[in-house]
Amino acid sequence: MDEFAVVTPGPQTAAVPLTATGLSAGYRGRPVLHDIDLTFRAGLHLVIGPNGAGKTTLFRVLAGVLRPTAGEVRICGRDPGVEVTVKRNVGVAAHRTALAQRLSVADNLYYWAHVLGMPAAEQRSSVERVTDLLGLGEIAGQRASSLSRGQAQRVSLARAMLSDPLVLLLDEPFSGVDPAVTAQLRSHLRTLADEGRTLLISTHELAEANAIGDDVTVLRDGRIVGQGDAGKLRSALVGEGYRLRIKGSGDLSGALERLGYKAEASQHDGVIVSVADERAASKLLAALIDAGVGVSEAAPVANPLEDLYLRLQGDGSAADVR
Amino acid sequence: MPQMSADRALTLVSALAWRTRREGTWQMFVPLVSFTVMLTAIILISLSGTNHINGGQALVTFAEQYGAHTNAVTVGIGMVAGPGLVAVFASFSIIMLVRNLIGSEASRGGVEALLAAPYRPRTIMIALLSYVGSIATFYWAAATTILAIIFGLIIVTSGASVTFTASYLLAVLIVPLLAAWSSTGTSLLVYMLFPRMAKAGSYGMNLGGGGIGSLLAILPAVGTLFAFLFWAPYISAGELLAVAGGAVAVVGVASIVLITHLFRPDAILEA
Repeated sequence: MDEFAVVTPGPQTAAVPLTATGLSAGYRGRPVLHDIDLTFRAGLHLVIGPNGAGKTTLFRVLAGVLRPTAGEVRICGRDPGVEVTVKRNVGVAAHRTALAQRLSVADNLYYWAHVLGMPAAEQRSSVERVTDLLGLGEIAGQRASSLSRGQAQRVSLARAMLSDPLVLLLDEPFSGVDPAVTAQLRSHLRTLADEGRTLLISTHELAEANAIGDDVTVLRDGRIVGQGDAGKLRSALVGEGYRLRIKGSGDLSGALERLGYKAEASQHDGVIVSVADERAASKLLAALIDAGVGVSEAAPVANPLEDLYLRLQGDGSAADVR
Repeated sequence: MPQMSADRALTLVSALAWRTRREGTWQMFVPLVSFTVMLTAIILISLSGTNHINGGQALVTFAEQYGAHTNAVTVGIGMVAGPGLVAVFASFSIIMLVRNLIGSEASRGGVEALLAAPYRPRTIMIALLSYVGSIATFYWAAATTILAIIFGLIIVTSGASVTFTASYLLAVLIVPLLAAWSSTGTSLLVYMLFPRMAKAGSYGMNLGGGGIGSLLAILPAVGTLFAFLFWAPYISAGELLAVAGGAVAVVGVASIVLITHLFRPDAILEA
């Protein structure tokens, strides 16, 4: 068998491209992931969680970059640690783009085609395919060192797609990408998922994520705390209530506390507070203004993913919501 | 299975070589200029005669054993210090290359990307060893050629007649090459196991651990330099080859075996 050939799915889990069972992993004896069970079928799956939850480590283990300390990963029913060729079915775009800075965009893609052991004809067709798909034609001759963050992200994604993989693991694909490109990217990713691929996306861009994800996996302290539809997860994990984001001047948190409310998450210019319903929200705002707090903005947290994320961040932590 | 692993390592080596070619190879020649300048300076000093060189008389005696009766100090320096300087130069160049390679690739995610590719960590290590080892060989060959050209010119222009023994030529060629390969293995061992040492800024404005790593990796070459300087005039070339070459080879083989067995991806991912 050609050692770089795409491996056909194994017999047991041929229909499930990516599974993890009893997965634990860490670095030099420092545990990060604990006993994780996951099954990802074709579709677009989101992984969210606060900083330090273990998202990057999970992606590394699923990609076969890091060996688990316990449990197992199966790609198309095969262990990537034992049958490394199966990793050709996985495309990875990590948060660090890992582009060779002195090479042009096209050469970065050709370099990776060499790394994957593609014959010359396949190299050319694969590079042309991903260049067209991600609209890289105009910057193909540009050096990687001169690319913007968004352009570098697109090149990284193109490189991940060179081998036309069944599974794509994308760590923060929207980070630093301008809105127009984000919309294109979102459309590409949706198309790839609809074609039967399995996409895992870790992101802080929750508005984008909520618009495209088929389901969400919530990670906290290295454990899965929920998996499924975003709206249902929000209800299950943080309750039904009505959450309000309030921005203003003065001691917002102190004023809320005096009125019997507790700020659930603090952002640099406002707080999130939970109330029973819309009527209670109106009452609270009136009470705050009566108490002398200058309310400049008040809006419900409409995005269930953002709501979930903010709650997981916990009170007083530095919420990193862009 | 080992054949398949070797084939894969070869694929990765050819990919790295392709990348090097596309990135431009002229930078590889820059260190050779400084080596040539250093060697020329040593020659100019030595041409002033024995009175200006410590141990000059010993060098003359040594060179005369090989038939050099004109410019014997210069020929003696070339024969005694030349091989050690080649070893130090090739090793130093390769240590800088490895430190830069690991430091930049680890911090930009290049090693992580390779680990996500269809290769075992050990295959990646073998490929890196082969790639860096081939560059070390290039530096050794280039420096040896420069040494031969410069001292050849001195010998020819001064009308001296020098006859090298086969064992001396073997020692001059093999020991520095083994030292360069040892530094390849040792520097990869140190920087892949402790990648933070290779990262710029990890130790603030201090050299810190990176300096220690480089010092460790250059030891085989320094040992080669000292072996030629202190022993060449007093023991036979065959003994020099056996002792110095043997010691350097042991260090090289040990570091290569250790790095291919001890390398763990989590060390580089955590850096």
